[in-house]
Amino acid sequence: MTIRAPILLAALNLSCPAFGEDGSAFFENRVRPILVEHCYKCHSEQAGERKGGLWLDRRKGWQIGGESGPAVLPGDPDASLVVQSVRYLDETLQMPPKNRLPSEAVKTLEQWVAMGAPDPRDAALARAVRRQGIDIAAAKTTWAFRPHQSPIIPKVRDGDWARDPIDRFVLHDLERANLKPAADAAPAPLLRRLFFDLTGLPPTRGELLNYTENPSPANYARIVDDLLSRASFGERWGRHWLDVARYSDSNGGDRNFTYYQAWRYRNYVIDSFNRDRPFYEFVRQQLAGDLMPFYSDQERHDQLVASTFVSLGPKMLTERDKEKLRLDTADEQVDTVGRAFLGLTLGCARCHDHKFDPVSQEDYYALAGIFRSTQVVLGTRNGCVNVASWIEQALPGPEPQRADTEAKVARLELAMRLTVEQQFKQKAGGKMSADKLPLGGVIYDEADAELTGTWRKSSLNGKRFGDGYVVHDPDTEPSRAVFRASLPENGVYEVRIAHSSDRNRAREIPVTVEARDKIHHLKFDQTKTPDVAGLFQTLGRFDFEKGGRANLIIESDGTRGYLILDAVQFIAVKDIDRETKALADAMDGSLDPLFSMNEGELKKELSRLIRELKTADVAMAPRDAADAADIHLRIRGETGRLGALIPRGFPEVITDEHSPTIQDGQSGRLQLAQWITAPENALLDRVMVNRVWHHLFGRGIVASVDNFGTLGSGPSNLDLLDYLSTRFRETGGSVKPLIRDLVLSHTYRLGADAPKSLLDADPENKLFGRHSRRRLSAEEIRDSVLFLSGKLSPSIGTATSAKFGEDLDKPMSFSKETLRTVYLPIARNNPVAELDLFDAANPDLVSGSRATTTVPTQSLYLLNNNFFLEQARSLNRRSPEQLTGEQRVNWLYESVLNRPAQYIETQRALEFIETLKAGGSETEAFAHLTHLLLVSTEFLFLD
Amino acid sequence: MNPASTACNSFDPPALTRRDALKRAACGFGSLAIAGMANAGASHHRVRAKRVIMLFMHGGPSQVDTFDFKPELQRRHGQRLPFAPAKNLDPTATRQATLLGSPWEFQQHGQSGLWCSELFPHVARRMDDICVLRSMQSKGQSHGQAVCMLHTGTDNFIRPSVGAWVSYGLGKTNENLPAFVSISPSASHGGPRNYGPAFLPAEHQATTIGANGRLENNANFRFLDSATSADVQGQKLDFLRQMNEDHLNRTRHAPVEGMIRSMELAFRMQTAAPPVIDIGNEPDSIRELYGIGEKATDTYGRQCLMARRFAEAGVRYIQVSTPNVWDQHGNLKAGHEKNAMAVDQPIAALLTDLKQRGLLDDTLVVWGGEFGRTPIVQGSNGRDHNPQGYTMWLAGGGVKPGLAWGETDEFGYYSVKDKVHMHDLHATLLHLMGLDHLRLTYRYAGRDFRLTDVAGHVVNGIIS
Repeated sequence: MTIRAPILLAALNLSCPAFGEDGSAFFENRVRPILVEHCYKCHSEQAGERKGGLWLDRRKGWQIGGESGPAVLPGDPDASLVVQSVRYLDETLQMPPKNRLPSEAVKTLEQWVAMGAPDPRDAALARAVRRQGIDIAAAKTTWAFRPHQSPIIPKVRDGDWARDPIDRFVLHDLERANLKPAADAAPAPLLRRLFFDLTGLPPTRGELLNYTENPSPANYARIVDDLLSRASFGERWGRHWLDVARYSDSNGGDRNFTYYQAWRYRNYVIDSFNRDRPFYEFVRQQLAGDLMPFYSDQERHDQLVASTFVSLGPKMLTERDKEKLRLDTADEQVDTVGRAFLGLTLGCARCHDHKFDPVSQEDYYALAGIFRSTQVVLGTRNGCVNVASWIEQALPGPEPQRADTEAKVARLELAMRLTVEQQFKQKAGGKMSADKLPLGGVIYDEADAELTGTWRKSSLNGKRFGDGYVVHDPDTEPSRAVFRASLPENGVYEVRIAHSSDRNRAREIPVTVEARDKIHHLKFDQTKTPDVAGLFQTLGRFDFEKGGRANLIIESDGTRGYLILDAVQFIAVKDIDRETKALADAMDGSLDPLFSMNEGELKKELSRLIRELKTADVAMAPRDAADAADIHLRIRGETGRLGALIPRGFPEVITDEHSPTIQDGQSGRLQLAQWITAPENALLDRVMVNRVWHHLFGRGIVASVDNFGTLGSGPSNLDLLDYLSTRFRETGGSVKPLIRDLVLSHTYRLGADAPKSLLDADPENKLFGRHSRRRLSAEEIRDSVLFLSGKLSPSIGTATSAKFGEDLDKPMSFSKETLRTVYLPIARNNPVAELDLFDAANPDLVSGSRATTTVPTQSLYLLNNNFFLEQARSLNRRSPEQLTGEQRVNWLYESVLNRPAQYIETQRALEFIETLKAGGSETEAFAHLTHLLLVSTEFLFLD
Repeated sequence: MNPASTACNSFDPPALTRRDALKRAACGFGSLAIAGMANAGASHHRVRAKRVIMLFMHGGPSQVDTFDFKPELQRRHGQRLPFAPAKNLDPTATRQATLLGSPWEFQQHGQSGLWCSELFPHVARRMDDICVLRSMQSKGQSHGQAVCMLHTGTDNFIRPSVGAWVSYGLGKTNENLPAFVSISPSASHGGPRNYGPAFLPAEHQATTIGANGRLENNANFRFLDSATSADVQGQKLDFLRQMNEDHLNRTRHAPVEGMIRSMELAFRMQTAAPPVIDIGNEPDSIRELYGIGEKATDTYGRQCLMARRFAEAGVRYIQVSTPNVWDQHGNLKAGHEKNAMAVDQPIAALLTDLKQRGLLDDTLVVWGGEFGRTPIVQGSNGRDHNPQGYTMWLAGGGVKPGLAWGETDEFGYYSVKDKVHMHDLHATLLHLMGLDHLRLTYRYAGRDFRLTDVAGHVVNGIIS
């Protein structure tokens, strides 16, 4: 981090520390011993330690300060980090780190700062605390960040081998290493590979025979086109993207609430792959669909649903510090966007500049500001003020249902807010409304004020808040009233004062507002007619902090006329529109009954609305927040420690010149969506084509598919990556043709076996000279077993999570389900064995590449879980009747393993049947045999 | 997965000769981590604890009602707190911060004279075995955050759990049992995240038994039970072995070999685990010691006894969780009494039992919740969450017995002397197990991760 301008130093006299003798003596006798004993160990030149960049062994040390800025603000103990930290009240800022100072020492330091922090120690700062900067210009020219390239298609010795330029790039690298590619795969394993890779399901016996009997290139190409047009294509490739999108049907985090509407996003993703939605449109819709223009209901529908991507992540909904909740949510979104689209670990820069990649902390907060300005969390999910919920939006559709749904969504939000406000009021004091007026925010009546001087009680005037008010008569003793408010959240509030107006009222009333940033002195005039509900007059808008000072002081000094003290109101600016509407509704008698409900009634209404909406046409879409604006950098990532205000924008390393200015009131997601898909951003294409390559070849050209940074693995064939990226961009980001080209390439059709020379020279298969074997994924195992048993449903799944309840904490079982696995609910923190055991993606994280682990529980599951034996029985029932034992064995091998049984295998199988038949039926014996085929390594691995 | 992450887990392994495959498989299961881990600091120093038993009191027991006696709090019961309450508390606390004295009597116990309240009469008799950390501090004002902080060292990110780190760092001592077992873990407040591997290889996650503080009578590891007769199962295994061997011979593919080895291990586990899990063979005297059969103590008693059996059998990290019951925002008196009653005798029994078997010396027992509770009253008979200062305790495994470490202020609110942050406890726990928390790292997404992130100091003063 670079030093921020020490703004406050301007107020100090740097050149001349002319403190009186007393000041120096105080420092020498009282302060220096404390610093020497407790602080020098970590903050002095003699100890050779400068923790946090701070020196406390010289005046300049605390004036310039360390990473957190000046450590002492002379004259202001409360604002001085040294004093804050020794007070030990903030867990993130406690010094000395292990032991609190004796309270006399704390008082001494407070006193020292209050008297202006006299400090005669003149030693200079040795050198600036400047950390080595990031060289953005140099970074822009590196392989990941540079613009699209058009590498020359290389010449190769064996030109006939290549079917596509892709093959030339691969062969070129092999030839350069004096290697030859492996032999081609045999037709049967190739077809099995192709079927699983494109659809996640095996070929039928008929499909297998069709190809093995005619393995011509034309027939192969025809099969490829057929597979690309099947619905199961999107079900497989959509799942790959859902891994990246950390897709889940529940929140996870601390409360595992069901995301009833997440399935719409899942189906949107599947549909997008099936209809080959251009990748750039796909990306834009996910980032900012809710903000994009649309020309039809269908388009609006897709866009809203797509933007669920932003809201889907895990959240700590019970975080009491709602600002931290918003920043943590934004952090999760920044990190996801970084890895999913750019292969960058942007989250690393939350607390400091990225240690390895060209991403500064400023870059991080420029992006975090965009997501902090995006509203995802709000209100309460279950009526408890500490348990937040999330927003949803009505989808387009036929009227009047759409308008009705929209009204329900709005009512749910209103019920949430009213619940929060009511609970807050009950605990913190203050009132919410008077005489059935639906006033917003928090109101304090005159009885809540600390009154000094002479105040006379009255209830004469009917225009009043509550039962009465107090009056300060002219020419009586000067008086004052102090309101100490507690406010529910950080933000800008409008402050209003209730009074009845008249010409005999006081003008020029001194009013003081003690807000977060400073103390405001204002004048107030009670001869004016109140502007809100004829009762409250607006004083102004001020920035307050939850739990911080929020005081309003009204004084009679210098006023003439009657001073009325009735009530004061603090209303968050974002709530004003709602209040205006409610007040108007109250006038014409159409006010929502929610306003007059008590806590219990509200809670009931809340859960009723949630239940009603769970099957309604709504999307879990975000929207721009009412308080969208730039945010402050957070020192060391701590919510409460503000650094400089950072304009929203995009990481400097991929931005051409300047980021656009993002206006207050808009989040900047729309600009982000446009920028990230702009043709200049070649990184997006590189990351995507690499993901596709990874899924087809078992390893990315950049093996660390989610990390294109310095600590990623880098490209094993840069020209190939660049060639594919440019080609992808030129086709407008069309994924199907890319996949088609890749599976038609010669490289894809290579066999998995290779001569020892190739294995030794390239053990990790970085050169793609052979095909990488892989184990089937969790979904492929379940789906193909059901497919073989004839139980797999061809239906498209919809809201499958709904039947599992309001939260997905209880163990779930898929044993009765027949839909494809992609349509079954994914619960965070509650993995289903079928998925978890075989390394399905962890929905907490962006997972472009799944691990392949081998644990004993997998084997126990394969052998002991009833699922396999049951499916084996069904599969047997599908076999043609009147087969001999030998024929039946062969039929099973062809169905399950996509090859005929060899002689010795048949003999062994028949022996096995004979043995088992003795203790049971022949049918059951064949079921056991089939079970074993289904869990054999040959079935579980793909050549 | 990042290819640089583990030497043994390279994700596109070359084809192997059978001999190579066997050699490789040797680091596949037993001590995978030590062999495979480039960065780990396995056994850099003397190992003081070979295993850990973590007794997790879910919900947050109150320090000022259990082990942190505060006479000043008792004296000023009903008065205002003379300084500011924690910033992130309910705003109400700021307005009405009234002190609540403990409704329970405290006494000093044993040679050490350590304080313990009447809530824990059995544990009180074992105070000379215990090292009380009275200056704990953690992060997270809500359960979700604090529970994750205790189990994974972070209050908001996805990170491996402590037990997973231990499993990764040290591997197994008993090849037929998992290295990390969690008995009846909670499904809430992060659920599996608290015993999960996050980005560590999956085998380091806990094997669980029971859930949410409950343990059925015939509880077992997942999928250990088979519906097929042993005879048929045997025939099937033979056939499968042959099939898989054939497949391996054709492909010479290392992961196939891995899967074959893993199957063998699974079937050994099927034989080895049930006798360890079954507490039916324990003599009556032991069952009585743990309070098994008594209504109040039966559940936790059985869990603690099972924990001892796992410890004996060589499991590295064993966690025993109560249900989420300690959260007394109200009803403190009755609630804490009931909760303490349920765990007091079993915990004391566990300490006695480990000691009489000579296991306490190298078994680290850890007791505590995700946070403590405020000395400020909530309602009339409740306390709010307090990660600012609270108590956990340790026993055995190389810590000084009969010691009270650190202090909170005179009301038991803020930790003020010899603070032990949760990161410090994690660093110390790893240290006692022979692992250096600075060097036990795992590379993920381009960064070397640690349990203690960028913090943590070993608390040397408590190590014997």
